[in-house]
Amino acid sequence: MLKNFLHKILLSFKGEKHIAPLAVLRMAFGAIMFISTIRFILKGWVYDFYVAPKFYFPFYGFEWVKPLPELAMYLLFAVMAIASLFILLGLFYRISITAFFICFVYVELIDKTYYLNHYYVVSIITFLLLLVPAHRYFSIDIIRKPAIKVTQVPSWTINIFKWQLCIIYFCAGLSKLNYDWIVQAMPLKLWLPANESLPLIGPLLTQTWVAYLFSWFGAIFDLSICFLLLNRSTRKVAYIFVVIFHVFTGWLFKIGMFPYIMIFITLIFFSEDFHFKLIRWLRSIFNKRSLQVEDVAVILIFSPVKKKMIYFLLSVYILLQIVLPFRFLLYPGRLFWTEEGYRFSWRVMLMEKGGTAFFYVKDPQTGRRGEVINELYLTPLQEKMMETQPDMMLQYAHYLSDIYIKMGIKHPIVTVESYVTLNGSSNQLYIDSTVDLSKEKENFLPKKWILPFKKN
Amino acid sequence: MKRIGILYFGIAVAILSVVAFSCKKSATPANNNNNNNGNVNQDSVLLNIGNNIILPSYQNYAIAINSLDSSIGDFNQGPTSTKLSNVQTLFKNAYIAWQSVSEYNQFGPASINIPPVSGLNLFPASTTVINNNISAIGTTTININSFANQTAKGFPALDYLLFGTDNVTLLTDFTTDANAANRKQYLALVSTDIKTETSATVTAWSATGGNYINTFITSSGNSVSSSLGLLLNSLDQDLEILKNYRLGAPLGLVFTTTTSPTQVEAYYSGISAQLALTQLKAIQNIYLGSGTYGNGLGLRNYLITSKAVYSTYTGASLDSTIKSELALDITDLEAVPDPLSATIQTSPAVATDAFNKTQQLVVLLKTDMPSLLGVAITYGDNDGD
Repeated sequence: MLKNFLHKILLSFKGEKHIAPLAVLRMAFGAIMFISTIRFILKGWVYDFYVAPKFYFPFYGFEWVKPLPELAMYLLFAVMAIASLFILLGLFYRISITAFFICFVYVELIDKTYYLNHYYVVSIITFLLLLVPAHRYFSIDIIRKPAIKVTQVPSWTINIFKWQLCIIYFCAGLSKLNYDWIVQAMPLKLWLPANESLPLIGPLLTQTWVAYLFSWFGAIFDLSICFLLLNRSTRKVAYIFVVIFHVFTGWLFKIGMFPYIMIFITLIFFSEDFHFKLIRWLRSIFNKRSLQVEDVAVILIFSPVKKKMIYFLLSVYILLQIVLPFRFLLYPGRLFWTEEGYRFSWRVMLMEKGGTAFFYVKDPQTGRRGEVINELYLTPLQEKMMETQPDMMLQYAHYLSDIYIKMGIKHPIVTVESYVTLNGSSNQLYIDSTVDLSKEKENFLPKKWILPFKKN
Repeated sequence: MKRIGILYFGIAVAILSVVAFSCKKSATPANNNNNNNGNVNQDSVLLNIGNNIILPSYQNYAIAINSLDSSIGDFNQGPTSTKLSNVQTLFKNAYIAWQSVSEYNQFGPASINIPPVSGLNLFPASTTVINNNISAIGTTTININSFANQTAKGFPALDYLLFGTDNVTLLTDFTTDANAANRKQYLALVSTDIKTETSATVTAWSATGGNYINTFITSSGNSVSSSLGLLLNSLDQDLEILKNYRLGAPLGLVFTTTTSPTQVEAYYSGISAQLALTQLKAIQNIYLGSGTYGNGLGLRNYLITSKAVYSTYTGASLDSTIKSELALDITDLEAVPDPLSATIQTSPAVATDAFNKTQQLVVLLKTDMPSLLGVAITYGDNDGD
């Protein structure tokens, strides 16, 4: 069976398929990104996240990425909004998708405080959309240049998205298979009762069995949904589950656009026929006459060089997608506690973690030691995120060291007394409070100064 | 059949993994976080905090401010030493009353109104700016709410104007001094500003005014914009002000621009420790639910309902842990004699003890409590933890 399964996967990358699913995906993605970008601007987050902070937490290796001045940041978001509209319309597609990709990834790299799995999904989908000819059907580009229109595209251009979604759901499911989630129904046991005041289901949410039901259902859903979506006979029911699951989680938790992005993108699992009909229906709204014009079958064939390049890129990307979620196995200690290898692994809403960090700066010459008021240097969101993530604490400690050197302390000793709670445990010391963090370097090695988690 | 096979394979993997992981650890002592019974309706907690604590505190505070303002008006008519000491007493009363409403500074009317009421207590006061303003009256119009004047207004300014030196000198400052008329005018200006800002906030809260009390009572849930989220957040920030600015900075335990005992709140009137104690007791009241009309439901009832456990070793509940930490912290603060600025120089250890206890309290209220209540204190979208 497994052999058959693998064989099927390989086969799915060969041959040709109708382009309709790609065109629909392009429009759906463009639309949701437009809404998402406008929402981001309207919420004032451009200012709050990329203008207001005095200090940013870049990703390791991307310390050179810095925010632009205020006006330029707003322009960048305006470019993203326009580009996503153009993607929707299929207008100047290559330029718009490239512009969107560059702007989006740049913004995400500025500060890891705002890292969300859904931004990671968007980055990846945009990257994949860069590689596929999503504009060569039902787009303004083919009105501009009718010669580029095609009807059949290599199957991989469509299946690669399904593959990505399967990875997301399955990894999300695997990460739920841990003691806290399955046996303790944590953190849902903490999160659900907080929605007690919701109409109808509110009172139910305070029941322990409901927390277990949700935990188990969530795990089984994540693990099985891609198989159910791939299977023609279960697809429709599966998609209804997708919609219910995401709308429900979107209603219960503050997870922004994520549910809607997933609901839109999973449409790709439907058949060519489904998408073809969808496009015919859209056409009938705009222009009745165009229905009479039958598509002439044109197969898109990539040049051998282009094909090789794309296959190479895709292999690297697929390999990374398989390896990254499991890199945590290389680190000692409890993943949720140390968060070493946590990001970029489709771990969504898995734990309830909170912390308070008191940073101390000591002048070795005078012996004077004082606590730092974090509020003076970080925004509330940055402070909150930093307080549970060791790599961010390290970055902040280095930043404090720089500040106090400027204030005249020659070799400031920066330590932190940090208390963290995980999934309802009582707070406990998180970081070795004797370690001078200003002397510690960031790298991929395990951080020895993270104290082990004690269950209590 | 093959397709069905894949489906079964998926489900089988799921079930097997579940079983495997469940068996990894055998049954541990029951986690007491279930919420089966003894539910307290969230709304009834908000109702008690709103009507029994917040509104009476604001009313009490508004009354104190009004009496202070009219006593200042009376004093300015013809300063006498009796009137001065009357103003001084009423100032202390008002400053003490303020400590029971500062917990609500970070949300609702107190933060929405412009200028925000929290700006009434930015200490230490800048005596230079105050004195410059006094001299400048008559030649320029003083905008008390400009950025430059942020430490020349509110309670710290009154503290300096009414206690800046001994009473005999003060009286001459307001009577025979060359700047006496200007000083009286500035005193009135600061007092009027406090009164205006206070009444705007109190009116916005009251049922007959802006009726924010209704919004507060009905915004249940656990998001950052729910009343529970807003209150907990605001309370934590207020507690951090106690830790960082009322105790930490004057003690030299916290880095601010300058660190000295003169940085205490109410340096001139010398009631700093009393103010800090009042503030902490106000926090305790919100936690316990005690107010003007007796004991009711407080923040602790959320923890009791969710049976939040602090330590499975000792079996201590989070509620009892926070309750005793609050009590210990209050005992420690009670042991700190006023004036705090002098205590810091003569016996800093007592004040340091109180500081350390406050730090522990911050951890419990900022980390354990929101976590166990599932209160999402988030400022953007969320998916990480």
